[in-house]
Amino acid sequence: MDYFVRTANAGKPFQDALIFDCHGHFGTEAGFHIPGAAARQFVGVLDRVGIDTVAISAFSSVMPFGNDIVAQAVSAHSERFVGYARVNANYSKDIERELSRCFDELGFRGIKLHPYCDQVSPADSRYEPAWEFAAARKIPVLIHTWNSLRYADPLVDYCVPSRLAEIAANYPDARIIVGHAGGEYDGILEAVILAKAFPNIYLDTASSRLYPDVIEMLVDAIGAERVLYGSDVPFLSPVPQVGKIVYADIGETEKRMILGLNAARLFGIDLGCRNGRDTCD
Amino acid sequence: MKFFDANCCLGKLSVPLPGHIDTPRELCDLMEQASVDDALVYHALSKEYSPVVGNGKILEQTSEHDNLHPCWTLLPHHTGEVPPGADAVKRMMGMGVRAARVFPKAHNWTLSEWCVGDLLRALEEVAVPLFIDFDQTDWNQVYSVACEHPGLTVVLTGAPFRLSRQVYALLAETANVCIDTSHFQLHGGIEDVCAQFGAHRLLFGTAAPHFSMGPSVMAVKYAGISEEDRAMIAGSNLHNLLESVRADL
Repeated sequence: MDYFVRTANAGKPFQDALIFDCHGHFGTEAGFHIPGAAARQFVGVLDRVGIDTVAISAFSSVMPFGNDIVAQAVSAHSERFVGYARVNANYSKDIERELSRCFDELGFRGIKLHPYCDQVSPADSRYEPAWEFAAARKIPVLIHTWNSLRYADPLVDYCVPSRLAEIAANYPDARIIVGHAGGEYDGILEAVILAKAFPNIYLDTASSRLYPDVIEMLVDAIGAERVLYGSDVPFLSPVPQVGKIVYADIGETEKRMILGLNAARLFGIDLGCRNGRDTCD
Repeated sequence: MKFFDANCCLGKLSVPLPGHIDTPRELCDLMEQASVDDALVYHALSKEYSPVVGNGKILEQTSEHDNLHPCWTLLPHHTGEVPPGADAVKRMMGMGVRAARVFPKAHNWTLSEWCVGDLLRALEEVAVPLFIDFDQTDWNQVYSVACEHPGLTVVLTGAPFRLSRQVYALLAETANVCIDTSHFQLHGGIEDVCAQFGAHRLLFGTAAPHFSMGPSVMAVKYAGISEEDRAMIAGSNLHNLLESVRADL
């Protein structure tokens, strides 16, 4: 039994490991009530579990409204949050200006794209300003993906993982985090094919589907280096999301990489030195 | 503190996902890894093939495992496949089964009174809890059943976090509906439901083997609630429900 399972069984915070969540949000969500969305409750959960930092993006894709909410949260809790700039392809002409503001004035560290919400394919020219910006600055881009053969949703076509192949090939300097690693099992298999083909593809573990053996399968397919712990907090509780990694049948070293070290390195954040835990190098 | 899984399935599925397990031994191994003490289990065949066949299978498969507790799947009686409500419940309890499940959508019937009123009354009479997967019914039907049968505990399993507005309304407007935690991954949800409605409305559930057990255990272990509430959700709520069944009637 490794450190993570021992700690989880005891219900204690993971104080001896770096936990960096690559997929979080801030604000409220129109579709449902989130009781733990406020900053105080949000950070309280992070403390209880021992999650060091969450990379957050806005629920709202309206610019600059959503990014301003994230900027306030990052400013108020700079030790716990780093910001993703969310940009909306339907306002393509505003993207470059908004990204410059977010990175040069607000200190954001990543870009969040949501082709499903925008109803625009990732390879559509309206997203080009975002990909150009990300590639030029080598900024991580978290992009929502999902695919499922189990239900019909025409909007899913905008966000199937295979649509990212063209982007990964055209922008080899972009660091692309495949949100939800494809989502349902069909999408996960598709995301793995993508990740095997392109070294600039990373897979985010956030998903409400607590399927068994998925983490093991991702590690087996592409190695632990490009698998990143994500939770979708506060869209979802981060606790079971951490649990997927903790109880996976993989080595403790791999768990440490997935839970924090990989993302800290990708975002260029030396959390290990700050926290006196795992180092980032 | 004991963990008693309220939402567990045994047996081969027609469309299994990778990592699926189907034998009692494998399930017990998973439970041990995740520190789950007991599980209430129904058989996959009772949903996908025949409740009668599945109910027999679950008795066989749980018979050698004291920590696996059988849950039977029930039907309306009019086709003659199963006895009328009171007789069906009597038969079930005679076999030591203290929990029932229904799959109205998969088995093509309705929870309306004209269809299964006698069965619901029989369950209510002896306080056998009724488990229903969220995707097998709708909010209005669950609400109606709860109102028509105030002595019947209805456990809505698999209620998703995204439907928190309906879940809260149902918990507020009924006294006898509980939900399991397997799909209720709402951020701060366990804490808020405890505060607003009481810990007695939540049962620990994993939806194993479709979902991994460990993450669901962690959700309860790390919830910001009192140890008393945690113990209720983890296991004592379900334990008390099964102990409250009036086997003497």
